[in-house]
Amino acid sequence: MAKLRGRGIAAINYPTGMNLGGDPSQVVIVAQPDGRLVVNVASVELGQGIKTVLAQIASEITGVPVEDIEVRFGDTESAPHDTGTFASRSTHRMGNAVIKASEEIREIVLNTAAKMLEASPNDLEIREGRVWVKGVTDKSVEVKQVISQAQFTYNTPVVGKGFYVKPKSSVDPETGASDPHSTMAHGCTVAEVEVDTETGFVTVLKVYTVYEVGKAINPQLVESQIIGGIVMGMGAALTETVYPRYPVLDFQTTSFRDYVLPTAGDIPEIVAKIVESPTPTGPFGAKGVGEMVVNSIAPAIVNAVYDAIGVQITDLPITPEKVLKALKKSGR
Amino acid sequence: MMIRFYLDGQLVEVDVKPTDTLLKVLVDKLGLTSVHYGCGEGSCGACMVLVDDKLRYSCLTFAASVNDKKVTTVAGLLSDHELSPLQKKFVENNAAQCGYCTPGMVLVAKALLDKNPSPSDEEIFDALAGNLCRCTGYVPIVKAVKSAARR
Amino acid sequence: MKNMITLILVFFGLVTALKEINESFLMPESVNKALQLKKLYRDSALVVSGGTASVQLVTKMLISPAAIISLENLPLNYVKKKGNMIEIGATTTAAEILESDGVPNCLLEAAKGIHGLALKQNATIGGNIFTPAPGGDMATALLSLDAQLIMSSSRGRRIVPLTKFYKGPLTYNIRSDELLIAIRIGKPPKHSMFMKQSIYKYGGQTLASVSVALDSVDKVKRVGVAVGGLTPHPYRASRVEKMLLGQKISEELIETTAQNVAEEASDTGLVSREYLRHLAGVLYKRILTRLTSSR
Repeated sequence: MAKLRGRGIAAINYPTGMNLGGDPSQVVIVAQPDGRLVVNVASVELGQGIKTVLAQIASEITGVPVEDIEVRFGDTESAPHDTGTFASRSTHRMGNAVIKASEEIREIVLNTAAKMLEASPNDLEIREGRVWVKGVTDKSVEVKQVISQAQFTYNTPVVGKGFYVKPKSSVDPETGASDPHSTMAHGCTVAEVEVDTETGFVTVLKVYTVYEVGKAINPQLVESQIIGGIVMGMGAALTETVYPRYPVLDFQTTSFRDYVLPTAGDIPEIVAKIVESPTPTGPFGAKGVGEMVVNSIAPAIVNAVYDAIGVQITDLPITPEKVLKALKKSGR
Repeated sequence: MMIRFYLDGQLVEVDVKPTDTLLKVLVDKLGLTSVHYGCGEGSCGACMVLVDDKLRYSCLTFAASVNDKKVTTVAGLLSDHELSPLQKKFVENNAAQCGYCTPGMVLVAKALLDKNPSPSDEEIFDALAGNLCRCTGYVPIVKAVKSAARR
Repeated sequence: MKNMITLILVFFGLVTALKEINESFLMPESVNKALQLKKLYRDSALVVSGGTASVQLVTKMLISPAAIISLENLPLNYVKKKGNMIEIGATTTAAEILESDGVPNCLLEAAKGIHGLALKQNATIGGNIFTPAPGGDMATALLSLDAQLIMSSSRGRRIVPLTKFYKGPLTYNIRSDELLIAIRIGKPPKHSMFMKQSIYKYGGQTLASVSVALDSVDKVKRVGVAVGGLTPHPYRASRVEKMLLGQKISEELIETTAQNVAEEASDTGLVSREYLRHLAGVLYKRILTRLTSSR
């Protein structure tokens, strides 16, 4: 009973968002009477945490504490148009739109606070949920208070609107050069596998994976995506397929009995790291992450199996039978 | 046929066909969102409930069989609108994304820990083997169960 | 003539009325009551034990029973030692088997391999016997142990060796008025082991399983080798058993007999029948190697 070990590496680039020159995001931020904010976005929170990220962005710029910002999703009748939650675009596109809307709110806050604190808006700074006169420690007012006062004392509506779209890039007729991507994120994965040479079964022992994401606005949420992506990628590499005999359509998998997913005890040891190389086009430098995290896993596993058995398996999933046939071929 | 049972602490009475599953009754007739239809064949675990404190797949339980029994969904773990300590561990460990698998995961964790307060890693993996998750990659869920266990 | 027509019309009306009220869910409290119901409905009833395999036959509309008879309330979950014999009630769950004493090793391992707490706590040994591949792990273990099935009906009891139970795919040696109420393992052999291979360690269905039960590795006087997962129901590798009888288990013997372990198999999506036959051979070799090394 021999077990062969192998290590494989895969690296990927992944663009953020759709690059058709027409996937806009629009956001409207509305203040509540007590100074809390509501961010209206027409797109969708799936559980990936975009709600949290957008609240963080709005909080960072407006100064309203993140727990006092509500992000409302999915009502296309009351929120302005947003293209949708896909293409790894949400943080980038919606984030940029939220920045613009938040800046409008911030300007109102500074102008109103200037009146309240009898100072020039240029002499003010916002931190820890309050507006301060620079260099003066005892002159400040709570941001939420300012927003409330703006509406009721200073007769100023507190609404911010934001819009972001990646401009369409034309193609240079001479050189063919173009700028189709808002930004590129990157990933690199190393997988360690063990192959049972009698049964052909592949066990993924360990996955080391690094993603360059521009800026991790919420590192825990980015890590959530990375871990989910590892398991999804592993499933794609080892067991998941709708047509196991493609292009022959026999044995189409129609239930979880034959379309097999890894379970909690089947996952490898995971070491995940985030690297940041901020992009000028992204909110605080952020790039898209959601899809990329699946893509580098399967090729790393395939390459690890190659390292273990000396044969490159060229179609997924890597079934134990394919491994045995490959082992026979390589004489092991 | 009319059946009556306790659902998350409330007595309910509902008319069911003999072939109706508990899942169908809970979702279609009683409008619950605390159980989910994932596969209807006991492969994914999203439909899990407790019947008289026993872990059951509601998609593999005939509704008529719970007459005069106590059915608990994940919502029934709250007390006074507050999450149970186990559910709080799920929140603290970021153990849910889309939430579709969560009712099953929490109830399996509860059933496991009620019987075995200090399970080994293997016992946790074995217990959760019938619950599929696509979003989280399981790591935060296992962390939540471990942190709720007595170690 | 008029009377005849009236009689016929009344008869048909009655049958129709009976058909309408006949779709019922029944939970008898005693074995006798259950047997009465089974005798009444015969093959038009779906008998439900743990429900982990049977309920979906109805919900996926594969069958349309006139009645559902649930065994849930019957006192058929027990593991009893009666001298050298073990008797296990038909509705005993895999979890309950794991908590009991005196259960032969291969059956414990088969129950252990049913992953998932909900499945362990609901899948019953009786139901497992009827469930075709990829289910039937416990049946495979029982087959290697020469288990006997106790059928009950209003006519009395009938004992059916598990080796004579499977007549064909989903075709069983059970009469339409009978219920399987218990499984007996008489004088389980000293050594037994069950091994299966599923696609992941915890996830996915059984691809192939092998169970070996024997009295001695130094001179085999009694042996059962059962193979599961390759055919709709587990089978005994009788050719291998004949080759092992009277022998001392050596590396060479393991190797030569392994070629004969797998008879038929069916293709699956992920792997072919040839692979499954190879896999069964590998599992068999691993079991015997372990059994001989733990001497």
